[in-house]
Amino acid sequence: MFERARKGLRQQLGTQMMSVATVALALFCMAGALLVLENAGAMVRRWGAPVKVTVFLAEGATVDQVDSLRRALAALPEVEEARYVSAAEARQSLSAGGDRTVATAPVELFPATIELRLVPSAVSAERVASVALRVRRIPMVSEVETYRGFTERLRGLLVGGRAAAGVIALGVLLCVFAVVSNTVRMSLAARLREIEVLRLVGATRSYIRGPFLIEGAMLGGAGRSWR
Amino acid sequence: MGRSRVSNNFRPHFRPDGHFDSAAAHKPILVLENVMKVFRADAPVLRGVDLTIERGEFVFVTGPSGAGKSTLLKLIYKAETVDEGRILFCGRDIARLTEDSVPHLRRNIGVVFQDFRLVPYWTVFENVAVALQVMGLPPRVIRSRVAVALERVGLDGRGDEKVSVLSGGEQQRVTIARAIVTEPAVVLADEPTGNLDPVLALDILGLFEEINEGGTTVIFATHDRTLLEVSPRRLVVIDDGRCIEARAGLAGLGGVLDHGISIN
Ligand SMILES: Nc1ncnc2c1ncn2[C@@H]1O[C@H](COP(=O)(O)OP(=O)(O)O)[C@@H](O)[C@H]1O
Ligand SMILES: [Mg+2]
Repeated sequence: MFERARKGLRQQLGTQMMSVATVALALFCMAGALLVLENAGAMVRRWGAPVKVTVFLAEGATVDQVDSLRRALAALPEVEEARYVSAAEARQSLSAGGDRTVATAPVELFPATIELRLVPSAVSAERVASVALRVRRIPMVSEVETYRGFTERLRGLLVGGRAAAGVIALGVLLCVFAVVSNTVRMSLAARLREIEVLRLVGATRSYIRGPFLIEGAMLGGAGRSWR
Repeated sequence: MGRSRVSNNFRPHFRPDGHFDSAAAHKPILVLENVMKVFRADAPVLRGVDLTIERGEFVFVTGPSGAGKSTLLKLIYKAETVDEGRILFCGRDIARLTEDSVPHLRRNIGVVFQDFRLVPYWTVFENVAVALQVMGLPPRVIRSRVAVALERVGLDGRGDEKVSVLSGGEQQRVTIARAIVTEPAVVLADEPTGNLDPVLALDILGLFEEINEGGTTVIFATHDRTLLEVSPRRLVVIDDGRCIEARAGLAGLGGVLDHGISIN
C-alpha cells in the first residue's frame, strides 16, 4: 500500500511541481497587478480632485472689494488658502521664465486673480464645480478657472488604468483556475485508468482508496512544511 | 482478505470470509435464466436470455454490434446488474452479491477487452502483478506466478518494459496474462481481436484456445466472422435480445447467422 502510494507520488511529481510553479507565478503576477491597481486608486484619490481654483477679477474692482471677497472665499470650508495675485505679480510670475516680451508688456493685459488652494482630497469635483458656479455669479468676478479639463483627463486616465489592472487580475485568476482544474483533471484521468484496472481485478474499495489517502496526507504534509 | 491459493482447483470464494462451497464445484460454471437488461425502455438490450455454460467450455458469443454482447459479459463480471432473471456462477446468484462481495467474484473471472485497459505508465510486470497484489499474495509468489503467466502468453523476460511502448498485439498479450495469472475459473474476452490485424487476431485466438485446453472456461465475444470460421466451436448468437444456440459452430446456424451478423 505504501509502495503504491510512493509509486503514485513519483509518477505525479513532475505534474505536481509544474502546476505548483505555474500557480505560484500566476499569483505573483496577480499580486503585482493588484499592487498597481491599489496605487492607481490612491493616485486618483490624490490627484483626481481639483486642488487649485483661479478666480479672475473684473476690471475696476476696488482694493477693499477684492479684499472682502478674498476673505469670504477663504472662509469657505473647501478652501485652505486664498491669495490675492495682482496684475503686476501675475506679469512677474509669468515672465519668470525669462521671456522679455511678457516682462515688458503693459500691466493691464494681465488680470488680477485670487488663487484658491483647496483642502486636498476632502473636496469632490462636483462640489468644486458648484462653488465655482456660485463664485462666478459675484459681479466683480469675471471668470473662474477650476482646471477641470486637466483633472478630468487625469482622473479618466487613472480610472482606465484601474480597470485594466482589474481585467488583468481577473485574467490571472481565470488562468490559475484553468491550470489547477486542468492539472487535477489530468492526474485524475491518469489515475482513473489505474482505479478501473484495480476494480477489474477485484480490489476492494479500501485497497483502492488507501494509497490515495496516504498520498494526500504526504502531499499535504509536504505543503505545510514547505510553507 | 487475500488467500495464498496457488492450486488449480477452482474454489469460489465470493464472500470476504472466503467461505468455500464444495457443492459449487459440480454445478455448471454459468447459468443464465431469463436474463433481461434494459437501458432504454423502448429498446431493451437483452430480453430473456437463457444460457448454460459448463466448466471447461469454449464459447463464442456473436451478433451484430449493438446486439448486447458486451452487456452480457458485463452482467457476468457485475459491471452491470440484471434487471430481471438470474445469473448463477457456480450455483450462486451473482445478482444477490453485496457490494463487498463483488471484488471476490472478480478474482474468479479474468476479463480481456478490445481496448486492453492497461495502465500505460506501469511496466508489463506491474500490469500483470496487480491482479495478485489485490489478493494480498506475498511478493515472492507474485513474482513466480507473473513469470509463468508471461511465459504462457509469449512475453517471457519482458516484465520490465513499459506497456505504452509495446505493440497492440503485445499489449493484448499483457492483458491476457493479467486475466489468467490468478488462474480464474472463467476468462471473458470482449472483442479481444477488434484492434488487431487479422494475423495477430488469429494468434490471440490461438492463445485463448491454449488457455481453454488448460481447463479454463473461455467466453469469447466477437463479430469477426473469420474467427468463427477458423474455429468451429460452440456458438451463441445474440439476436433481437435473445440467444440462439448452434453447437455445431458456424455451419449449424446458416440463415440465422447471415441474418444476424452479415450486417457488419
Ligand atoms: N450503460 C449504457 N447505457 C445505455 N445504453 C447502453 C449502455 N451500455 C450499452 N448500451 C446500449 O446497449 C446496446 C448493446 O450494447 P453492447 O452490449 O455494447 O453491444 P455489443 O457489444 O454487442 O456491440 C447498445 O444499443 C448500447 O447503446
Ligand atoms: Mg461490444
